[in-house]
Formats: sequence, C-alpha cells, structure tokens
Amino acid sequence: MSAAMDQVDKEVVQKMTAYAKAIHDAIKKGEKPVISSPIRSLSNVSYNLKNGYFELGGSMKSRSLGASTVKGFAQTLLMMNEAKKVVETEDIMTKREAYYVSKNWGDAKFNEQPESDGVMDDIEAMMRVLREELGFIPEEDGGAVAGNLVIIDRDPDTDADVRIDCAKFASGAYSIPSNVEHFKFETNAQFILAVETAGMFQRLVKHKYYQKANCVLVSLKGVPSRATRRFIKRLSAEKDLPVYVFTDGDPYGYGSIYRTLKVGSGNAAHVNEYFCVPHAKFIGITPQDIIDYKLPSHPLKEVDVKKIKDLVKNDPFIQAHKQWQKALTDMAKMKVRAEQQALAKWGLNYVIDTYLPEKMKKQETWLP
Amino acid sequence: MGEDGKLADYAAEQRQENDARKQKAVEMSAKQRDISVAEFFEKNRHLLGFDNKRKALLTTVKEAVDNSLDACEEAGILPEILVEIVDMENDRFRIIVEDNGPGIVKKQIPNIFAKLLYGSKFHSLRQSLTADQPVLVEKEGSVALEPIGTLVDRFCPGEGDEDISGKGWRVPCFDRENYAYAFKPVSKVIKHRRAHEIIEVKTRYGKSIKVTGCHSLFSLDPQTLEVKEVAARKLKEGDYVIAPKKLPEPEQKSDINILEALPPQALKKQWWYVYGEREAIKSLFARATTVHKKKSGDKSRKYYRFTKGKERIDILDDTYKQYVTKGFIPARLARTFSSALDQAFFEQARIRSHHHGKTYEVPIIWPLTSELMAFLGLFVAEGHTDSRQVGLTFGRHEKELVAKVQSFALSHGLSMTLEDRPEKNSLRVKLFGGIISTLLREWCGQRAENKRIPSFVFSASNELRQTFIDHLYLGDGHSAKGSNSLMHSTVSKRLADELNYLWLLQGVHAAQYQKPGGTLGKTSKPSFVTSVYGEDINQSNLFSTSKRTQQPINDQFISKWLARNGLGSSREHAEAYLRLFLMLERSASYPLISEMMRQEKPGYKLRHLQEQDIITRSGTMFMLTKKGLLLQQQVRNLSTFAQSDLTLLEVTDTVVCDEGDEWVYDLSVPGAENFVGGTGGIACHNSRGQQGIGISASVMYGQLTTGRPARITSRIAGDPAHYYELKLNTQKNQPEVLADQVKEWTGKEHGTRIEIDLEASYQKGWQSVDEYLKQTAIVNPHVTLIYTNPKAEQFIFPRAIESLPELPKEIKPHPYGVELGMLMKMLQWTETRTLKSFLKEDFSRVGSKAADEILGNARLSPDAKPRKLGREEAEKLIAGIRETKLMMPPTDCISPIGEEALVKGLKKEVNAEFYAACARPPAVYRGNPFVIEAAIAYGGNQHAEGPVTIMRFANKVPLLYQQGACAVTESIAKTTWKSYGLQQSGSNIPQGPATLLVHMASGWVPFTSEAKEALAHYPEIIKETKLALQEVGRKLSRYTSKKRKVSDELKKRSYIEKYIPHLAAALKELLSLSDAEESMLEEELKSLLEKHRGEVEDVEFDPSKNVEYDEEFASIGREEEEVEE
Repeated sequence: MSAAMDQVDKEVVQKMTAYAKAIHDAIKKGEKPVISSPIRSLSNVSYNLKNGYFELGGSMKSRSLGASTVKGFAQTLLMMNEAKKVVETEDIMTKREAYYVSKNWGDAKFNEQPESDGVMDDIEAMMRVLREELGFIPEEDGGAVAGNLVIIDRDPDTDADVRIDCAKFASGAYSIPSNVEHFKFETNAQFILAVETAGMFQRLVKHKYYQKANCVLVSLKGVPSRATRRFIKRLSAEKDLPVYVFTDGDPYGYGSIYRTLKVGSGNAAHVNEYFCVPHAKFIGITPQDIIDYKLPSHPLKEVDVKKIKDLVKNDPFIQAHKQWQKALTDMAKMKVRAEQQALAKWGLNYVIDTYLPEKMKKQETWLP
Repeated sequence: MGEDGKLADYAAEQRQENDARKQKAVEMSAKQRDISVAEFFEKNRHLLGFDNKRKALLTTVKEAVDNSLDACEEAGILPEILVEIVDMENDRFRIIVEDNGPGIVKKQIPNIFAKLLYGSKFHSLRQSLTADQPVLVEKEGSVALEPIGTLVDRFCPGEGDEDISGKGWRVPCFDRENYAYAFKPVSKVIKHRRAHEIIEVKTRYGKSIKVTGCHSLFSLDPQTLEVKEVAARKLKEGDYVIAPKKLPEPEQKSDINILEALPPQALKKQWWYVYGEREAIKSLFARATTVHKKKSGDKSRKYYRFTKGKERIDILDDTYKQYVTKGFIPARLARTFSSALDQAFFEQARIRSHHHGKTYEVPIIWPLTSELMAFLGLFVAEGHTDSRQVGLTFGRHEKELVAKVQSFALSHGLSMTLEDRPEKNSLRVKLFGGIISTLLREWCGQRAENKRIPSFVFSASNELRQTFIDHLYLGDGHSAKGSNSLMHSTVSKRLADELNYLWLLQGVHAAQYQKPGGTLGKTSKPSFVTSVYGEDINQSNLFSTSKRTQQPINDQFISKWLARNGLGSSREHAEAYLRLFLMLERSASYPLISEMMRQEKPGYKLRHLQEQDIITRSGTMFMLTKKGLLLQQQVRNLSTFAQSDLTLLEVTDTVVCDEGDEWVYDLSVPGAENFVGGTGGIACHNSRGQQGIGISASVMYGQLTTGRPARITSRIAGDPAHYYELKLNTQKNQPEVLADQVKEWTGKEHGTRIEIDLEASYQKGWQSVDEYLKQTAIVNPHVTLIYTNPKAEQFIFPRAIESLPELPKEIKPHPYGVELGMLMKMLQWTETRTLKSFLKEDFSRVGSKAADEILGNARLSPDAKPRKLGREEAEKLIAGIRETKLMMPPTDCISPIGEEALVKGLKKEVNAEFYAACARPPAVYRGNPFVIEAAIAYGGNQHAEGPVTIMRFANKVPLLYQQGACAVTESIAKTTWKSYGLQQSGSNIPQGPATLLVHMASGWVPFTSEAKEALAHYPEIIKETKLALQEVGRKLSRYTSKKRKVSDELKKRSYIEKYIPHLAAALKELLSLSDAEESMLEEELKSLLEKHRGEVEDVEFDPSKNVEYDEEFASIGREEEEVEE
C-alpha cells in the first residue's frame, strides 16, 4: 500500500474540509447551518432504462441546526472527522468499528449500530462519494467465486501480483474481499452464473458445472453485498460476459436479490452506477417454471403477499417491465412459491443435467 | 315551606325510611317478634356488620362516632370527639367514645343503647318479589305453585321474617357450585314494606317476574361468563337471565288419599261414610276418651270424645256400637283422625254415598294411573261441576275420549250417562255423585277462570304428567295429528302458570302469552295461551312433529358468543376450542397441536388464532395470550353452563312500576340462596342486605362476647352527670339497667361517653378504624377528633373550620325526580283542591308560571281535582313535567363539603403536586336533590404504578368496603381519563399517581345494601359523578399538559448544553481550529440555539411546598396495607 494519499483520497479530504468549513462559517455569521442529503428511498429513484439502473431523484432532506438536530449534527461531523483520519492514514474501518469508535464521543456516542450506519450513509450521500472511498468498508464478506477465472490481486506488503485460479479450490470457492477495485481478470468463460443459495452453489461446484458449461459461478448468499455486486459488474464489463441470475421462485428472490443486483436499491441509489449489472438476466425459478416443472411449492406467507403487492405498486423496475408484473401477479394468484432446491424432486442432479441446460437454451423462459 | 299536613306526613315517612337512628324505639317495639334477639343476632350478625372480629371493631366505632356527630350537629355544637380503643388482650378490646354533645335524657338511655331495633327498617331494603309472583314449593311430597304472598302471609301476618326451617317446605334451587337443580329446604320467609321500585322483567317465551329493583336475578358475567347475580334494575333488553332448563323431580307419589282432599265443611254436611275393617274402627275408638253428658232433661249418656286441636267430635255410645257392627265411620272422623288409622285400612276402605237412592262406593286410595291423568286432563280442559254432577262435552268424533272417561268412571265406582246431541254435534258425558264433584272442585277449581292443575299431578311420574298435559291439550280441541305447535288457551291465569311449570318439569320451556278478550262470545276476559313448538312437542306421548325447532337456547347463546369472538359457531366448536385451550394451558409444541387439529377438525386454523391474538408462538411452542387465557376461561364456563341444569332467557323488556304492592316477599334457602319464581319459572336470587343497626347491636355484641355491660355516662347542661350500666335482656329484647348513679364529671358540661368491651381484632390498613377516622376528619373539617389506637398511639385531628355545616333542611320533592307511583300517592294525599295548586304547593321550584307551563304541556286543566286524576292523567302530568324547564332544587336541603374544604382535606392526606376539586350544582334523582363533589390529588409522592386511590364518601361518612359495587367506582371507570393525563385501559379504573375523592350529599343517599357501603347505580348519580370527575379531569389535564411541555423544553435545553461541545470539537478537529476558537464557537452556538427560548416555568415537585400536608396523618391506616374480603 502506498504511504502517501492518492489523488482520490486528497479530493475526499478536501470535500470534507469544505463541508465543515461551510458549517463553521454559517455559525460565525450567526446563521443556523443546514445539512442536506438526497432522500434515499424507492420513492426518490427513477429507473433509467437507458443506463439500466436506479437513479437518484432530486428530493432532498435538509436539517437546520436546532435543539432537536444538534445531536445529529454533532454525530455527523464527528463521523466525518473519523473518516478524514482514516483516509489520511490510508487505513480502513468497518461499519462495526465505526460504531465502536463512537464510544469515545461521550454523550454523542451511538447506542446501536444502525444509528452509525445511517450517519455513514448520510455522509456518503451528501458528499456524493463512495463510502469505500471514505475508508469505510462493510463488515459482511462478499460472495464466493468458482470456475474458469483467474483473478490477479496484489500482495498488500509487496504490491506484487498474485494469481488466483478460481477453478482450483476443489470443492471450496474463492471468497470475494470487500475491495475489488484493483483486480484484474483472465478468463475464457462464456458467462457468469449468479446463484442465490450457498447450497445450490455447492452442488454446482461439486459437480464442476462450470467446466461443463464453461462459466464463472458466483454465490450471492442472499441479497448480494456491495463487493459482490462490484465484482460481478467489473468482471462482466471487462470481459464482456453475460450474467445470468438463478434464484428461488419467490418475491424475495425476484424483488430483492435479482432487482438489487441488476438495477440497485433505493437506499443506495446514489452509488448504483458503481454496482449495478444492467444486462443481467433472470433464469431462476419463475412462476411458469413451478407449473412447467411441476415443482413442489409452499403457500405464500403473509410477508410474501405484501412484498408482491409492494413490488407491483411501488417498484420502478417492476413497473417498467410488463413481464415481471405478469410473473408477480401470476404468483399472487397461484399463492405459492418454490425454492431452487425443489428441483431435487426430479433427482439431485436434475438441475445440472436438465434444468439449467434447458433454461439456457430457451430464452423465452427468461425474465428481464 | 308550606304547612301542609299530608305532605308533612309524606316527608315524615321519607325521613323515617331515611335514617334508622331516627326511628322511635317505642313505635318499633310493638312489632317485635318473640324470637330471642340473641338468636336473631347470631343468625344475622353478618348482616349487622359483625361478620368478623375486625369488622365488629369498625362497626362499633362507626356507629358511636356517627351518633356523636349527629347529636352535636343537631344541637348546634362544634363536635369534639374522643375515641379510644384499649387492647385488653385475648382478642378483647374496650372502645370508649366520648363527645361534647347535648347529652341524653335518662328515659331514653336504655332504649337507645340496649334495645335491638330489628323491625321494619331492618328489612325495608331487602330484595323481594311482589305478592302475586308464583313460586314453586313442595311440602311433604305435595307440590304447588303458590303466589309468594299467600305462602308467606301464612306465617308472617305482619312485617318481619319467620323461621320455618323444619316445617318441610322445599323449593327448587340450583347449586352454586355445579349448577345442578334440586329441591332444598326453605329456612325463612320474609315480608316487608316495599321501599323500592318494582321491576317487571319480561323474557322470551312470555315469561316474566316482578321484583324490587334491587332484587337480583341471575345472569352470566359478561367478563368471565360465570353465573352471577344481577340486580333487576340493571337488566335491559337483550340481556340474559337464568332459568332452570328443567325443574328437578319432586318426591314422587304413586297414589293419593281422596279423604285429604275433601274439605271438612263438606264432610260435616254430607252423609258420607267410610266403610272399612272393623278391628281398625275398634282400635280407633279405643284411643278416644269417654265423657258423660246429658242433654236437657235427658239422662246422662256415654260419649266417645275425639279431640284434635280445636276440633272435637263426640260420638254417642250407641252410635259407636252400630259403627262397629256394620263396619263404618263418618268420613269426617276418618279424615280428621286419619293418622290413627293405618294405610292398610284406607287401602281396603270405600266411601259410600247415595245418589238418587242409588248407593255407590268410591275407593279412598286412588293410584295415580294414566287413566286418572287422562281424565283429569280432559276435565281441566273441558269439564265443569255442579254440586252433584260433573259434565264434560266432546265432539261427536271424539268417541275415544268418551271411552277413556267411561273407563275411569267404571274403575272408580262412579255412575255415568252419555247423551248424544246431534244438533250440537256433541256428546255430553255426565258423572254423578257429590264426592267426585267435590273432589274435582277441590283439585281443579270450580269455574273456568279458577281452573288449576291438581297439585299431585306435579308429584306424579314424568310419564303420567305428560299424559295429563297431553289430555289437557286434547280436551282443548287439539287433534293428535301432526302440527308444529301445541296451543292451550284458558281464561285462568293460574292454570296457564301451572301448565308452564309442569312443562318445565318435563324440561320444556313453553311460551306463554296473553290474548285480549274478545267483545263477542261468552267471555270477554283475556285468555292465556300456553304453547309449545317444534321438537319440544315430541316430548308428548300423543302429539308429534317432524319439524325441528331452532337450536336449544343455550346453544344459540354459545353460537352467538363464539361468532362474536371469531371462534366458529357451534357448541362443538366451543368444545373443540376448550380442548385446544386446555392443551395450550402450559403451551404446546407445533406437532402436538397439528396432530390434535387433524383429529378434531374443529375448523380453526392456527394462523387465524394467531392473527386474533389468541395464541402466540415462541419458537415451535404455542401458548395462550392474555386474551386467549380469558377466552379459555370463558369457553370453559360456557361449556360447563351448557351442560348444566341452567338455561338462558333473553330479556325482551323491563317495566318499572312504582305503585301498589305495599308488601314484598322473599324466601331464604340456606346454602343456595335462590329459588324459582315468576311466570314461567325464572331463577331468583334472595340476596341478603347488610346494615348498620345502631349502637345497640354493638352493646349486644359486646355482651355476647365478653359478658360485660355497656357503661354510659351522660350529662345534660345544667344537670349532674349520670352513670349507667346497661345490659340487654336477650329473651325479651328489653334493656336492663344494672347501675344508675349520679357521677362527678369534671371538665364536661354536657356530653355522652360510652364504653363497650367486645371481642374484636385490630388491624391497620385501608379498612381499619384508623383509616375510617382519618377519612371522617378529612371531610368533616369542623370536627376535632382525638383518637388513641390499641397500640397507644394518639392522633389528634384538629378542627380546621370554626363553623358548623348548614343543617340540612327538609324540602318538598322536586318535580323532575317524581315517579309515577309517588306522584299518584301524592295526588291522593294532597289537601289542595286543584291541580295547579297541587303543583304549586306540594312541589319545590314550581311557581304559578311553571305550573301553568307544566299543565299546558300535559294538556291537563289547572282546575282538575287532584284526587280524581287517574293513572293516564298522572302519566300525562309526568310527561308535562319532563317537557318543562324548571329551576333546579334548592341546595339548602343538603350539606356539601365545598371545593375548598375538599382540597384542604386532601392536602392533609396526600402530598401531591396538584389539587383540584369540583362541586356540581344540585341534581335530582327520584325527587331527591343531591350534590356530587369530586376532587383529585395528582403526582407528588404517590405511586406512579397501579390504579389510582379512590376515596368515597356519602354524607361525609367514609365508605371503606365494597368499592367494586359502588356507583362512584363505576363512574370513575366510565370516565375517559387518557386525555386528562392518566393511563386507562378500557373502562377500568385509571392508573397513575393520583387520588380521587368523590362525595355524595343528599337527603337520602341510596345504598346498594343496608351495610351502607356502596352507592346505588342510579343513572342520574352516575351522570353527575362523571360530570364532576370530568371537570376535575379537565383541570388536571391543564396541569399535566403544562408539565409535559415544560419537561419537553427542559429536555431540549439539556440537549443543546450536551451536544454543543461535541459539535465544536468535531469542527475543531476537521478545521484544525485553536482551543480559543473552539470555545468561542461553543459560545456562538449557544447563543444561536437559545436565542428564541424564553424562561421556563418551574413545575418540579417540591414536597415542602404543601404546608397542609401532614406526613403522620397521611400514614394513618397505611402501615400494613391489606385488603379484606
């Protein structure tokens, strides 16, 4: 790691100082300083079909300094100060660590981690920088990768290249780190297959599906982390690989996992352009698959029904795609959902031998 | 006030009712029963406030202090009362109460202190039925439906009660534990003057009962669904009352002795002889005494003399010889001395009589057979009697019925004729003989409107009873062909009532209704129809139907209830739920429950139950929520109830009638305290009132428990003091003066001192003497009380106000509160000659203008004669009064405490942050003006958790017991406190750091019982109490919202103080400022943020601010808090 701050880091520090200066100056003038940041929710995003991801709208929330906001002001500035220190020392800090650092702040300390996460997101959004650039990294690790891919990383001490062959983890897989910006890739794979559950990923790895299909397998482990998304985005963009997503047939798989991977989320709309994979395609269990493959199903839970309603009514992505609307409405009518593993009804390796090859062939069964 | 004599009487009567202490002992003594007072006391000590040793102490102090307060106030003396309780060890205490009252004249002392007044007052508030209400009673195997008045009057000619235990009277009642019906002995019959409104409760099936408003029936508690008493006046349409599903089987009879039915007068007149076994006749005569007497001029002759009570029969020796030779005796002799003749004799014996020269014999013992029942049924429906013959008319197609009568006549030795009357298309059957016609008249009544069911029918077997019922319907013209209803119509109310009960014995709730009499035809009288529908008909041996009735009543109720609670709809559902609930009682795992659901298929879904918040899940375990637990209890009670002997009748109407019925009646059934009465059989609760019976009861109690006399010292100003020792002669209820001497009483110019030793127990707490005296001091600020408790702790409650409260004045009734019955009474008694002057003279707040307005609204003539006004006009007058706006009654008839004195009193008791009081303007209930006052003490050192403390007072007397039964408590619970800043869940007592005080002042405070422990639930009282509470509530909310605002403001300020340094520090580091710059920044931030904030009002609780608060005072009665009962 280089001892001196790079250009990006310098810019970030400058931004922060400028922000603090503005607040300071307002106080000096006897004016109440105001902090504004874009509202981060689905209601303030639009789905830009051309770019293929959610874009933040113009709604802002502003807080001016007052009795009820003084604590938030103090915490924001304290957090900014911590970020500045981290950037200046080229260190990193996880969200959880940031929470513990706040315990030094006396009365201004955070009581729960969601409070500190919120302040961090606010800073990220109001300064329009990636929080990774602020030195904050997520606690959770990324997904896992296996398949016909060589990743070229750098040794943290020597800066020398390190080659990682993702086909050589036997029955295991390579774990995506929180920062993938410096990765270089070598591959001849045909596509990337992103899988929702670790269980299904294991099965595909064990039976070396990536060899049969010549692909890179990525385990999403639920809603993919920022690192996983960034990894897929970079790999597919640099090597021009199509991305196929294979999830459970339920509203969570559609609306949370796939949607987030493809177009981003409302909460992190300000950074979507870094993370989204707009050309991803859904090849997972569709409601039609439940019928076509006679899959064993479970009744929809109350939360599922609510989620479907919410998606159809409020999600700009779903609203932009008639096929998705139909799929979700069908599911609501069928009142059932099915898991990836339900394919095991036809034999444990039915998914490898029949389902995936069939789905890859039949484009008409995909969802956008 | 007008000097109207009648009205004065009227007012006097009211006064008399109002206050037992004002009863004159002399008046009362005339009415004493001759049972020993000690016995009376023993039996009723729980009613007299001596239930337990602890209460005995309180009752005694309470009576003595109340007496002292009254005496002082009436004499215009500022009271100074000394109370001392000395622990004499071994549960004995000496109570000493001394006042500075006017003293008592010597003549009155024995009567006041040593004569138990247990006459009219004692019972006047007890709960009762009107005289005409039938009750089902059984005595020595014979069952009768008798008006309660007739039954009780037999024992109680005047007011009072009579112990009839051991006399063999039994009534059906249900067990309070398992709800099973059985006949149980009656211990007491009770009769007293009516003091309350009468309420007729009408239910489904045309059943009804008339009781005093306070009399309880039974219903299901809406919360727990347990069987619970409910006062009649609280019932309303749509409520349910409890009735037996089926009456219990009375003792069964297999035969009857007809001699018992023949009345002695008839036997005297008729030449009826009993022919029987000679030896038995001889041995009967062997028991007679022999006398010799001579008629004028004749020689002396020997007579056999039989005496029984007042009855005496002398039989001449010669006649006796004839009897023995021929083997007969006069029927009169056999009847009167039947006990000397055995059953075997009667079984053989016949009554011989003559009809048109023909001799015929009738057996004496008649077995109860279906033949007899059929005949009786037909006769009751159809027949009539004259002195010598019995006639029944049938249709010509009813030959079968004629055959039945014929076969009955044959087997009972009766001659019979049959007359075909083709022109009337009828058959006329006649049975001849004085015996049968007398019997039928005695058994079944003589004329159509007096028809009744022979009482032995009730004691017959189930099947025979049904035969009787069936033939009654047949005789009434019912064909045996299928029809969905059976109707029996009669002009005899009694017959209809009895038929209804007879059906109830069969387990059928028949419906009764009254049909107005027609103008055409023979009778213009109303008739009473008893009908049975649907499946119930199949109970009959003759009639049947294939139509189904609705669900049984209990099931209907259960269905309704389940549906309302979202739990399915049938009884099976309830049972399935019960099983589920029982399983969940200790929480159960998912597999267990789903297994059970598979077996039961009760139609519930776990998710449904979860959504309803009935069960909750923790991991894989399910358990009942709080709501579920309540439901479980309810379902369990419902299920028990459904399987019990009880059923529910829906109330269709309640009618208040406030006239007539001078007397009301009650029965006492030990252990069960309920019986069956009214039209159609409704379960009645005979509740026992409680009451304070005056200081004499304490004297008596002391004497019974310690053997010591009461010691009284009394001095009238100017006279020397007298010392008396008094005992009560418990046999005669007469005072005995053991000592009477003049005594030196220094330092006391006038006053009375009483000393009683008694067995008692002293405890502290909410219901203690300490608490009672403290609360008395709170609301009587003009009294000085010096109290020494058994622990030798002395409390002095000094007088706070140097003036006596205004003595209440008597006033004329206010029109708004007058009810129909009372109005009609007043109309009868008035001495005024016109309606207008009646209104002006006999009521308060009615002037000439108001009177005209009332009469205008009522459309009545001002010159109408009051005494000639009928019920209809009286009703119009009441309506007229309601439409007229009148001034509220004057307040000088009541003595409220006043807002200031209330707050003062509360300040002594509670160290709170905030006090408020409200005295309502006077209002009226039943013509009685009353004033409600309420006060609140909020916050301070009161507990923030738990329900608020409630202090209740009636005419300045603290009410310590029965808080739950009090109208004040209901009013508090029904007031919405949330918006006033107290917590409250549903209609419950609010929670929070507060004390609520409510005082009712009135010439006549209505208590729920004679214990004078709780106010009765009159709507007007509840309304006024709520208004008073809302007023203090509003005052409270102004305070609590101010307090909340201030605390918000303070919180904001502390926020600013707290975070500004952090903000400055962050900026310092971010911008690398100097220390000086940082502190300047802090100052600037402070002025920036606090610029717009003004001064904050101080609302912090300062315990020392309340100078009235007396910590020692407040702690009285609080040391060992415990709740009794």
